[in-house]
Amino acid sequence: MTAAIEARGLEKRYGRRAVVGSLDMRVEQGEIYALVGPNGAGKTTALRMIAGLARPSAGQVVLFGGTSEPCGKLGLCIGACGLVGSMTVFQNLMAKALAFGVVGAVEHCAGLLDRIGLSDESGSRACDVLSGQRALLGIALALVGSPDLLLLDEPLAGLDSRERHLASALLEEASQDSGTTVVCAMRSPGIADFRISRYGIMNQGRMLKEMTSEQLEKACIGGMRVRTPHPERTIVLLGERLPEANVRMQPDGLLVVKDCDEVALATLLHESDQPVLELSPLRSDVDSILAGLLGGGDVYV
Amino acid sequence: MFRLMRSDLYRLVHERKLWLALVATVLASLVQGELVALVILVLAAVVVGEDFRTGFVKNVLVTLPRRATYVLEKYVLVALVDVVLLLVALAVRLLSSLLPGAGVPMADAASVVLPGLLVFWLAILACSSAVVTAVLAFRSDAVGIGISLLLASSAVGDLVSKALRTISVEPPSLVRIPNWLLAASVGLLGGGAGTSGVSPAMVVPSLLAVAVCLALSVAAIDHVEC
Repeated sequence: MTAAIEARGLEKRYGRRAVVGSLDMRVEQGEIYALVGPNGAGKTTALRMIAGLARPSAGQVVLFGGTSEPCGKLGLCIGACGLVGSMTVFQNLMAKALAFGVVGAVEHCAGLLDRIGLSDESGSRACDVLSGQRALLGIALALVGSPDLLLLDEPLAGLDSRERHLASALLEEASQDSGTTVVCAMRSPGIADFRISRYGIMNQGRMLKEMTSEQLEKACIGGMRVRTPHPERTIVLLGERLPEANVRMQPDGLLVVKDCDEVALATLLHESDQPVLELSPLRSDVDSILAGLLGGGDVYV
Repeated sequence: MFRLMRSDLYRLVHERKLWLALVATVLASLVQGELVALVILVLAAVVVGEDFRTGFVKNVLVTLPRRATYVLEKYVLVALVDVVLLLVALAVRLLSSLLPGAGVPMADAASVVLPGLLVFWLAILACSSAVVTAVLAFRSDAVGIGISLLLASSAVGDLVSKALRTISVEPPSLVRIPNWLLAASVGLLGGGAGTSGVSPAMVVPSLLAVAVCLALSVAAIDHVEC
């Protein structure tokens, strides 16, 4: 299948300063891809170049194989999303729907408002709604016309948990039902309630690593927590039967076991003649793992 | 382009700026006809600049195969808005001639105003084009409003000198200020919303100015990063 986005050697320089340097990126159709990195990593500039809003200093971007016109293909919310404060919430959506030539614009916009839970606010001026609602409206605006590709910059920033859930449901729905490819620039993907297919980790304008959600999930499990009444005996047992395991005892007697197969560990403890008070995976959250990849330390919880 | 036009007209009708401009046009026509030009130019700056201020331009540019289409649509929109406001100014002028004590029969007013209307519209369109070009180049309606003031400054200058005379303060250097302004030297907007001082000789320069501004606007939007 043709990739939704294929970026090769993408660079953006302002004078001598390279904001994005040699970025290669391929996003398949229907994926939800998160560009992750700290402020100044080059995520937003990369999105702007993909959208064609900024001209790359080098390299090229091909959308959907470069075979079709951009009309109706792209929805975006990068920085200011195009909301006019003096117009009502509904009128803002209508203005974009008319610009995109959406058939049945009134019903389409009413449906979008319903999905983001702003039907009651449709007659309110955009400048009068709460900031979280405005952010939701920005996402809805990007979804006007059911685009094939959605580019969003920090779509969940400033949203409370309910709004985050609504936004996540909206994006997931767009991806699953309409096959929309979604690319989000995020600092903290851990707050996303939607399924992210792949992560692209950026720092200082470069793509450090790309991971699938499965790889990231695996990376989140940093060992096993084991609690027994006699931790010293357990350490000896593990040393004899699982010599490759790295066992560390914490002051409260909790054993942290790394570098061993979870099933083998569980079987061993089950077969030993001592009760097991706790056996659970030692997980770190997504943001901590990504922070570790960016140069900080992992924080296991 | 027609989709964009529909969207822009929808926004114009549902926002306050067009209605405020209409009110300002009526007032300007009654108080000082020349100020109508300023209202028209400022509205052009705000209409085009708003796309950049709100980020709406990003939504539009990514849907267009060629950015020149966006520029062309804005020019058509501004030309349309210019016509509407000029017609309103004209209507107010004609109606005000009916007022008791105006001293000008309506037929006479019409015979003075109507023949030059097209020429004046072209002159205004040329100035609006310059304003639109500035807004597109700088992505700022503030710059556009500044250019509007500069272009319509003979009207502003006239008002200032009248005000100075009204309060009987006439320092020689101050009353000459209007003569130093750009519009006074090019003589383009000297007639304001009326048509006195507008001659058919302005048609070709106006059309030429619109064409040059259009070319500059297309070049500017091609380099715009937003």
